[in-house]
Amino acid sequence: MSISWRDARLPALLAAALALTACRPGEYPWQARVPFEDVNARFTIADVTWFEDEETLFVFYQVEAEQGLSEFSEVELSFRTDDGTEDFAPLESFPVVHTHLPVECGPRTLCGSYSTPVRLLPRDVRLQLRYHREGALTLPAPVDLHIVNSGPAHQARSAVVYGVLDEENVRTQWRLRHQFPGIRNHHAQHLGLRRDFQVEGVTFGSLPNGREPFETNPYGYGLASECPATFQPHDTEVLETDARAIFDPVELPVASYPEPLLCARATVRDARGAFTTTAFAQKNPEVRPAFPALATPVRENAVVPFFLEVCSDPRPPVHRAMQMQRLFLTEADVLCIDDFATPDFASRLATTLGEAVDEQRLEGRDMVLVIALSRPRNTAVARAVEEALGRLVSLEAAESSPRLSGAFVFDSAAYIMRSLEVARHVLWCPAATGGNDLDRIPDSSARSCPLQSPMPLELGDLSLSQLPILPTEAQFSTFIERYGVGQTGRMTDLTVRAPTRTATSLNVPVGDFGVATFFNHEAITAAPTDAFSYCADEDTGLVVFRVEGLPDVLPLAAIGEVQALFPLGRYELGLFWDFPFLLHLEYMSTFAAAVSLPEEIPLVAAFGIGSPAEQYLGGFQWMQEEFELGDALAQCTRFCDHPTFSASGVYNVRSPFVERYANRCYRPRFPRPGAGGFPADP
Amino acid sequence: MTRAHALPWLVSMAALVASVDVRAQAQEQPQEPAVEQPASEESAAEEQADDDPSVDRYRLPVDQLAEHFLGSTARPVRFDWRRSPVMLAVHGSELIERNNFGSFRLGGLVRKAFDSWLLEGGASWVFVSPTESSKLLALTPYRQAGRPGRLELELNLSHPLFEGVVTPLHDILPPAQMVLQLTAGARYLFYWQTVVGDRAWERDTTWTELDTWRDIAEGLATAQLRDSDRAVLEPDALGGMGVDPALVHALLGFTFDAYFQPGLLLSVRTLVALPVLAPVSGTRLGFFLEAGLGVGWAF
Repeated sequence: MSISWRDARLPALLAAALALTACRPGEYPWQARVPFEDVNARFTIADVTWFEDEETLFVFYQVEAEQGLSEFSEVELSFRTDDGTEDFAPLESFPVVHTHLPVECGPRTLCGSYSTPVRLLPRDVRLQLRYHREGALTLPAPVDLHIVNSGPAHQARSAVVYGVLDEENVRTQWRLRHQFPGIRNHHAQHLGLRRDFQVEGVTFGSLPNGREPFETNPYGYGLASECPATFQPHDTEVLETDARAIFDPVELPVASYPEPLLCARATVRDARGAFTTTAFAQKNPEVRPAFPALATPVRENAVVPFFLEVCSDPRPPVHRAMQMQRLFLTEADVLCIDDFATPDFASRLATTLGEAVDEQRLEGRDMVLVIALSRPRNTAVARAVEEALGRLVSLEAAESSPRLSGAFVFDSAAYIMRSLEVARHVLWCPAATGGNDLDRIPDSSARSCPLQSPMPLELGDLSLSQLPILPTEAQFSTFIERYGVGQTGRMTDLTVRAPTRTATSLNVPVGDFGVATFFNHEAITAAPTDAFSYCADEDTGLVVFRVEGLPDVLPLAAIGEVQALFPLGRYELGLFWDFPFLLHLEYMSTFAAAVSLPEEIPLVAAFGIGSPAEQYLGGFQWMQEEFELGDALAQCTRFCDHPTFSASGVYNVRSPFVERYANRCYRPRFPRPGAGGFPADP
Repeated sequence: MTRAHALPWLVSMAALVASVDVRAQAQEQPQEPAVEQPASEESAAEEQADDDPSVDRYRLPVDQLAEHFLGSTARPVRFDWRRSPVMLAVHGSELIERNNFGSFRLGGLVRKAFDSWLLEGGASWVFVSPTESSKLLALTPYRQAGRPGRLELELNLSHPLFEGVVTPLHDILPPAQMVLQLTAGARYLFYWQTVVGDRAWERDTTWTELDTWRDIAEGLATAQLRDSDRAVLEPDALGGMGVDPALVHALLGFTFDAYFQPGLLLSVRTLVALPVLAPVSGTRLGFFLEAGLGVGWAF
């Protein structure tokens, strides 16, 4: 038996109607009314401050809601004093003391400020929001009430007036700063508070007790009822504004340049009328670059070539040829050192090398010994050569130009120099790290001489490698067995750069390998009241200083603190280096590949791809001749104990230059005329 | 009697009564009896008939002739709206939302039939007015969702359920082609204030920066007002109104169209807004009605 839709539709409709009527009327979704929603209004600022000396009550408020605040919403105030009770009434209905602009705080925010005369201490101060001026519903505010009792002007008044100067210290900007216990200066401005202030009778001079009064009253507002009689007048007009700052249009006279302070009569208004007291402006610290640039000429050195060879036990010809090619040597440069084991060999070799150096010296250029050492695996030969070089380079290092800057040795085997003094001036390649088989060297970064790049690769029967441009004999032999001589690369250029020294240049050893050279009496002189600001940058890490009588050199970063503690007056500047010259190699590097064929074919197919490469070895600072210090080291020469501006343009009145910037960058942003009447002053 | 049945009879009548212009009378006034012809013309026709005996067998007395229909005619009352290339209409409607604000729409519609489907596009300005209730609500810390004045763009798709020609009961009313249709509609709410926004149009860069136009486009190409756009609208909203964030609505209901020859169109519509898009539009209005009347012309 089947039931058709025609038969079932009536029962289905009845069932649906029954299901719908199971809900009580009014609960169907389509009967639902659009609900009312609370706007969730709340006071985020409800600050009330009463100043006894001004007999003025300030109100700051800010109300936020999710929606619904409008121009019809208003804030009401009530308070009680010993004179009586003021019931809730709109703020605007109270008499006003200052200017309060209507402000826009956002689409869902109502904010503003107000000031009204209140003669006696207010009690039970209340604020409330009336949602609509014609409505009866209100929202009470949690009021923050502050009472500021009578006291010194800079502490007990709602604003202080002070002066600052432009970058040249010739134009004065007089400023007003709101100071409320619960509201910041900028915030009070944003909430619409404006007030007039007037500055007149500007004078300049210095106080007998210096800046001592400013320690407790940093802006100097109300330091005295009148400006000191010793101050000289500055012929300018009366300045008045309702902004927070105004520039004096008249520049200060020349006579004012040495004077640290300006004083003026500043007048503000409150509920009692006009209030006049003194306001001070403190000159900015006068700062200039302490030493614009430390310069030392860096010149290309002449090469004095030698091929030192144990002629009785020569190395394989291919290796010998490789060494000669690498350093551009010829047979004329060969010097047999078979007598390396004889007494006084080092002395004789030093003499021979010295004669070559002296001969080259006549051309007037600094020079570098470039030596290829071809020897059996006998470190005695290398040790003897090291000793000979030690006799020569340590003496030459202190000479004035033309002189021997150092030596570069390309040995046929790895060797570690024993003398630190020699190691300071001699670059000995190849490095002692690494094995004979380049394919098994673990980490190229462990070697100091020209590096192998990329790392060797083994891909099944295919191996890839690259010979360092300055290999050991063993590395060279192992490499050519697999890849052939044609893949070993070749040197295309070799140059050496080193600084020229003067007759007064002085080397001061620093640690085991480092040396600081004071080239030519570069020095900074400073008065005892001067101060420094050090700002580290790329170049300053290589600059050091020393003072007369102290054996050690100090990093430039310490000069500010040294001057603050021991004002020594003269600081010699030098350059720190760990190697006396910079060796620049240009060469063709070959990326070699070898394929091991099956065992039945006893052959290895090798091929390579050459590409130009270059490498620097030694002291990298000799790539430049000038080390900029102008932005790194600033020297304050006057008014160094005065406050100054930060990079954001904020006047940090409690941070004198001498204390704040000894080891910090000094990048002040001074006020400029025309930059507006509302400076950054949080 | 149809036109096909009347024609042979008229031909015979013309032959018998030459003085009566039966053909002309049958086309224009078939209900008028021949006895009303002028007497002079009738005498002339009898004289001619007397002269021709071959038509004697068709002769009938005038009284007998008067008892027969002389002819019939038809006036077109059916209107084929499907063949109309385009229809234009002025449209007004009341939005019956379940809040305390009044809304009335006035705009225009363009209609086009595709087979039995009727597609409409239109634009209306929505006037929103307060009520005594909303004015009181504005005095409280509560708000009710509503929609400020706006331009509403609409798209409707209808399909006939019933259709036919109806005869008026009163002579002053013309016969009409009536169609009852099921209608689905979509509404897009365009608030011009969000385009202006709080942007600094006085600056040239505001006009030239791509970001300006991208931001406007992003604000328009969405189903829900961005919070920043709602903030722009709130000052213009009526007191007590919380701006409903939805920019799109879906509606379903019936449209009753009446077509009168030669093309007058009368359209009555009742749609219910279904909150099916609420998950993306964020509307808080729920169900509401749109009841409208349109008058137009089908070309």
